[in-house]
Amino acid sequence: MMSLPHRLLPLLVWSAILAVSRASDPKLVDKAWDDASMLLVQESYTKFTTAQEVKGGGAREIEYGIGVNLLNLQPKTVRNINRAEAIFTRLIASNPNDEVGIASLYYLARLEQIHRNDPNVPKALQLYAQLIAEHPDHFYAQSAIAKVAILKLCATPTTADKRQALAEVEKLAHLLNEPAARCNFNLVVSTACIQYNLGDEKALRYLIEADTIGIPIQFSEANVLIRIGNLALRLGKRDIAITYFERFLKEFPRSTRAFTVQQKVKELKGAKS
Amino acid sequence: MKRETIFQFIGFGLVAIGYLASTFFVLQRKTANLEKPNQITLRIAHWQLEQGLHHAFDELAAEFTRQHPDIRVEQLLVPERIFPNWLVTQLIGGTAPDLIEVGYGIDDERLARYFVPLSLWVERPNPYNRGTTLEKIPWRDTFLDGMYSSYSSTLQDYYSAGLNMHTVRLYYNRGLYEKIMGLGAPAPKNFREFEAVFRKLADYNRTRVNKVVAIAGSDYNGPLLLDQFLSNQTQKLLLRLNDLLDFTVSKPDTQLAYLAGRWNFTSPEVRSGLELQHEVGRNLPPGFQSLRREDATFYFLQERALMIVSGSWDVRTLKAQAPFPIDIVSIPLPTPENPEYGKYVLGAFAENNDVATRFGITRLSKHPKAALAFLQFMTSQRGNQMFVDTSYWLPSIIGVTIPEPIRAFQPITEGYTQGLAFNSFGADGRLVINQNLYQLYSDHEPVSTFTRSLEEDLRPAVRRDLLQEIKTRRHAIAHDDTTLAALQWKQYRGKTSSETLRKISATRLNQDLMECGAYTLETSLDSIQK
Repeated sequence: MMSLPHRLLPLLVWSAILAVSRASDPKLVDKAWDDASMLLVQESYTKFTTAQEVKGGGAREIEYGIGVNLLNLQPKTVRNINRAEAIFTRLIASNPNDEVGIASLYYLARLEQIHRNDPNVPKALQLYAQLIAEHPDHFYAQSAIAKVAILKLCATPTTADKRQALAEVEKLAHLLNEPAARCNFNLVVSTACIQYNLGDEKALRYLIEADTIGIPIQFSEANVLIRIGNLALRLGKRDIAITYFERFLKEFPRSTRAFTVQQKVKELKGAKS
Repeated sequence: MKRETIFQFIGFGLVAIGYLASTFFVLQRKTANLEKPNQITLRIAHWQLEQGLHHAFDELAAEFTRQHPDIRVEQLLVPERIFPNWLVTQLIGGTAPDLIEVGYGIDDERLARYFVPLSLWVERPNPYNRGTTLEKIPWRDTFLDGMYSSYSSTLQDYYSAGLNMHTVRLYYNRGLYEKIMGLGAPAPKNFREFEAVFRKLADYNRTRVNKVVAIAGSDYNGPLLLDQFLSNQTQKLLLRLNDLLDFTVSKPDTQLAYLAGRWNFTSPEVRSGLELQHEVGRNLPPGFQSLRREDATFYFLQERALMIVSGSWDVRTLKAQAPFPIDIVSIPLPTPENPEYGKYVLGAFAENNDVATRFGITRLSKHPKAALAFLQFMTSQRGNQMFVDTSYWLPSIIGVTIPEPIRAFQPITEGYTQGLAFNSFGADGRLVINQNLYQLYSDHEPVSTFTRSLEEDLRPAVRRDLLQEIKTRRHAIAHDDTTLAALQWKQYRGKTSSETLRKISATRLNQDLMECGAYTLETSLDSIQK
């Protein structure tokens, strides 16, 4: 009769083969990123952890991958968030200027802003500011500019001085050199301008510029076209209103808002003639 | 032999006979459905048990097999109530069919984990549209909603393609209607004519022992009808709440405006809507809120009700089961010309063109190419025409002709956006409203009593709903961080495509806008007194 260790032998051999095959899988880290890009956090985390165990890829990349997955690993625990913080901090300390270091600084800020049970907004703002100051042209610094605008304009109490906040946020605008980041920034600022009555002219200018850059989500584009039309109407700029309303009708003819917009165009054209 | 033993033998014998019989039937069924040599079987699962649907899918399957003799399609009909549990078992067990109707039991995470994203194909023409007007148009743009309903804003991708749309109409018993209103009497076209029907029916009932109810109602059909009257009266009010100037107000923003005191149940528009609801609701059976959908259908089919309100999904079932002719019209809501109820109205509603009955391809599919081909075939102009001709459901594809029996369901496109209604509230808010709704149909000062009954509980319920909304948005915002990190890393490593770049831009914008909205909601809620 086979003793227990002998019985376990096939299992051990199988595990060893599996580990070797995984270690020799050069695409394990790529697959882990693919999973993470599709919300499959658990699967991605497991792959990164395996890659770390078998040293199947760049150590910094893998650790960074583990960190960004820990932000959303379920169940979301304080321990996981603290682990992610420790990882990002370590990665920044060892090299703050490579891609991993810069991205880690951004996700450290995100961790403070979004992922903690008690968000630390001042700390997040400080980290965003550091990122913008040190690497202004990097993708994550460009993203951080819109985040600062959101925190200063939308996350402060309704009684706060929004005009002062807008002035501070607008000082960052000259740093925006990536078109998509500028588009997002403009949409955030214009929304705040409309929401908190910070100036229709300003809101209109930001919206038109965002539209010129190109809005990557159709539904948002539809909203922006109508918003521009209505703002222009409110400012007495009929030609602009007609242009944007007509563009909406051309691009979204089946929208449930099309008839309302059509009526506006008729009204405007009638008044014009 | 003891008597007990004999009974045991009989018992075992019956079980054995039952077992053998069922084995025989199962084997026979298998044999009948057995695929031919060199033929693969595609399985498609859905919960549409309505009359005509099974047949419509069978016809599509038969035509597809005629065009592709190496593929046969098998339908799996799963009742709506057990669909989510069944689905989870199939997905986790690795036995899921090739195509599954997306909706019940599928959240973004399951979509990502178990379904194939379709963005690679939506930009290209649907090959089954060859020879039609849609031949050169991207698949996405051949849908009446531009595939908007199939798009996951969290995942920034398309995960399904749908077959139809739905609208809601008033069905009426033509024979009974003529008995009451006179031979050849036209259907009510506006609210005044609708009111006249109620009056005539009251006269008709006066001499009868078995009274006829005007409109069959239930917890399902009632709101389909009555919510429209409140929406009708609040069209102008809702536009006043449109701070962001885009002719649309989200449900959370409507609720926030309620908490901020910008409208309430004593606002003239809302009061007028409630009065209308009371007036019309009195023509439904007393206590209709506690009746089920089936009860309302029986009322109508047994000629105990003159009318019923339901969607285009019921047309085939009702017409097949009713022993009388049925006519269908739009719900006669007050128009701006109505002297009593017209002043708050903009006009008819533009009907939503959201596409329904959407199917996704599962990652577990052994035949993903064939599954994609069948999905494209069903949503081609010819395939969709075949589907609507048999199912009597509205098409989802541009250029498909609506069959004569369902012309009345053709979506109204020349209309304004709807106003607010009870469904503008969240789950807790609606619960409070539903618990007190019976008071709106009482005889003594119904509107005031109903409004007073909401005073204490509605505000805290709305606050709870909004806090839940903020939590949900925060969860989605947080999830986007990992997604964006992965997409951006792929781009950095040069392992990218134009699709990845599009997803980065769209995910980043979606996150920024959601974040902006969540904070605004949160700070506004904080500023409102509890």
